[in-house]
Amino acid sequence: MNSLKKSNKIAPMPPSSPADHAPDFCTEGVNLGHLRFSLGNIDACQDWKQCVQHIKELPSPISTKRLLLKRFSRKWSIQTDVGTMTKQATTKSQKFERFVSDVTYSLTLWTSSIRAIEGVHGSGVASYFTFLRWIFGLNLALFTLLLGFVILPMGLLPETQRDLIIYPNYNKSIECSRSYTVDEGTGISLLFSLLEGKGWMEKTFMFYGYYVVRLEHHYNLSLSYIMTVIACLLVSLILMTKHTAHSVKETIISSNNQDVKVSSQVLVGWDFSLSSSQTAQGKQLGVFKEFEAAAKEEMYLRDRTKRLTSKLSRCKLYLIRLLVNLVILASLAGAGCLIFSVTTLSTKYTFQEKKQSKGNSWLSLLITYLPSITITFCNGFLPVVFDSLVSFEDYTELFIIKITLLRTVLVRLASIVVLVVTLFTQVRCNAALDCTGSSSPDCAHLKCWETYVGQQFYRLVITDFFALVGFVLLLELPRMFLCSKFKLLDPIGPPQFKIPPNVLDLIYGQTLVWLGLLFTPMLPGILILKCFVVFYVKKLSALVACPPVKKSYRSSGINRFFMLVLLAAYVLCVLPVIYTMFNIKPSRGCGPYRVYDSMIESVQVAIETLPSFMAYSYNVVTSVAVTGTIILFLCVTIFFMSLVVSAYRENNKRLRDLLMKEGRNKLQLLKQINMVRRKSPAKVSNVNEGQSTLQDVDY
Amino acid sequence: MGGTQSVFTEDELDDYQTLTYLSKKEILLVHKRFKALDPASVEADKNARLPMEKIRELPELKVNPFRDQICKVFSSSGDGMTFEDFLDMMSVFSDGAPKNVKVEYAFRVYDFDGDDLISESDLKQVIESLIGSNRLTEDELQQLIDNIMDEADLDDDKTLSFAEFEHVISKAPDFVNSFRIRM
Repeated sequence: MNSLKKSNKIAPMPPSSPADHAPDFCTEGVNLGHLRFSLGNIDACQDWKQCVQHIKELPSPISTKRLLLKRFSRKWSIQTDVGTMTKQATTKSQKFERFVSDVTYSLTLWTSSIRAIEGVHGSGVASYFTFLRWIFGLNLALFTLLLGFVILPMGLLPETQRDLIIYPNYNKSIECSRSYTVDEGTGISLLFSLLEGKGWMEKTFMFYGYYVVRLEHHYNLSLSYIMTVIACLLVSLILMTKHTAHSVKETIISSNNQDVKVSSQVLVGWDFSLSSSQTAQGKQLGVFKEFEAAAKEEMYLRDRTKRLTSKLSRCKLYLIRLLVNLVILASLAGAGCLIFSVTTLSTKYTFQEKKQSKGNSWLSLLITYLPSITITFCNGFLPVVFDSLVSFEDYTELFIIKITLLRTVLVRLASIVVLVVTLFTQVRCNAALDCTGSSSPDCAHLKCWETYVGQQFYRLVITDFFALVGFVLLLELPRMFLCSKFKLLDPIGPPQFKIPPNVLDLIYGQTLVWLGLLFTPMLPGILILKCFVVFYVKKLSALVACPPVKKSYRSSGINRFFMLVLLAAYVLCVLPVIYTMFNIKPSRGCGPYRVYDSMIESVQVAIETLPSFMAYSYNVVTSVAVTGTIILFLCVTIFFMSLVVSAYRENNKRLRDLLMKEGRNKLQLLKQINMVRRKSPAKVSNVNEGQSTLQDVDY
Repeated sequence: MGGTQSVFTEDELDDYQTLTYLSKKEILLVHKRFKALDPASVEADKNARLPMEKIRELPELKVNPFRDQICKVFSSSGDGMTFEDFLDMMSVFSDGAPKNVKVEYAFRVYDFDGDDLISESDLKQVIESLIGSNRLTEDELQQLIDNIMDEADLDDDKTLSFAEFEHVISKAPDFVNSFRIRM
């Protein structure tokens, strides 16, 4: 380690101030290059680990840090010579941390791809790809859980039903199971079945209906099925919280960033990750335009207030806005009705066809897919309409982005809500019947409604996948190609990589998984495949089809919004799933709950078989008294936290005032320095010291 | 990465991991990128001092309008960068580096005249670097600078001290994302 010896001679930074206010032998001859960083911090360290942490944070070259490390290790009487020094500095836990970070680094997928995309498009677009990777990882975790606790046990455990006779519904379920048969099909219809999730597909691990009640080798499949689904939902929540906690904190800190708008435009203006010179030039132009646009926005507002001085023009504007909102509401309602009627129609047709004869398989494929196609179409088409309508409303640029995004989210969530409601009415309608009963004309007779619901989500995921891939391959790429060939198309221009709709696509995909998890345990597996392919397709779209956008995209405010949407979607998904577990009667003829009256009953039955003491404690824990107390406790905690928050806010304000006062003091001091300097130049060094202490306070 | 593994001893790698925010793999990757800038001299001495012109060839720096400042800030001797300087730079720009370290270096990058304060002339240079060959009028430029000072200069001394700079940056959530070079 030659550099260690050298570092004594190196004086890193020009403002030469030997750190003389910390007269410790450790700091002798070390120039930290900065007045703000006194070594007092390190001196005051409680233990060696903290000391290392402080040294690491110093803004000095590695050689200086190494020197400091060596000196302080002497102070902490840690045996050092050059070779073993760092061994002392790293504890076993740190070693382990390093090992973990090494492993995770080498296991992280797509790092170089994301780097390449970031080089061209900047960090905004790259954040979409990291989010995609996160969704991939999330589903990998969910799928591993399901594979380990549901799918593998189902496949491996032997099939007997000797224990089931104790259940009162046993005979009924045997009878119903016999009547639940599927048409396996041959030839081309095998492929259709794969796409529709029908026929032979119904009798695979993919769907709820295939699973049976198993109690072999102390493994209760019914219990593990419901527990795994609950665990999956909890794991999603935990991972989501972990993923968003950091960004939420950031956004709360910067929640009122309107008052530093220009500063952040300038000081955070450059994206240091850019590496393509073409993009860099574009970025410079973009920043330039942004600076100009800031002035224009100001002018636009002034202009609009001027235009709107007359009552008539103001009325006209409000009328237009009202009209546009009415149109949007109407189209939302229309889309809802469309989805409802199409889903009902499709179900009816499918069952009629089954009863009568085999129709045209292409037609039947189309009709089965009609609900999914309608939903995907509404999701894709309505935002485009909203986009064009918003220009009539005369909003400012920033507000346009926000309101369009809000409306788009509304469409997505609404379409899912309508679908869930539609399915619910069908299931409710069906619940009154049993497997042998004749169906009333109003509702389709579902032999295994869980599988039927699962199929809907299965098809939605597949439709969404084809829509995504098709959009890139059939629309974006040809558009790019045509635009580069023909000048005539210039007004349309090449496609753009828009982050908000793309992120919403991802959230939508995840929503489907949460909803469908209970009925289609393999759904996370499908999403893994989907994410994998979509990553490469979107990479193609980002690097080939979409030229870098000139206008820089600020992700900050929107990111928080996405997190809110993801959370809202999660709650929206969990509610129906929990409701199903508790309140809807499972099909008698299929699934691991065919002998139970509700899914949650399997848990209760399992509890009853436990020793009485444990059953008793379960009853206590789930009783109203305990849950009520917990809820009360949580409410009190929330109240307390909100108090703490407001106190911090107050404190923050006070510190800010202090900072301003401190600054004024400094100004005063500087004036005095100048006066002193004029009188006698020799005393300057003393004053320097005074200044440094002041800045320490600042820092 | 068997070939590069032998460049450093385990002790040296441990050392670098203690002093930077990088993992072992990343350190080796940084060395690979450093070597790519001038294979011959790095082959001869793994900690060779490369001249600034070579360092500027790094793709991320090549297009960065603040490349000269960055090189100046991270060079321990003032002319050229050794591997350790380079590693230092990549550590600060990595995902693992905490915000306060990044803010500190950003402040130095924007402090063109090195007086530990960001003055109006520094800001002017920042803006001019950002917009490159495009030109703002003198009025627009001054307007922009005035706006920044209105927002950020809490004590009205017409300069931004580090504390004021940190205060502004803490409110700009994009900062950590943009002050980053991916390995």
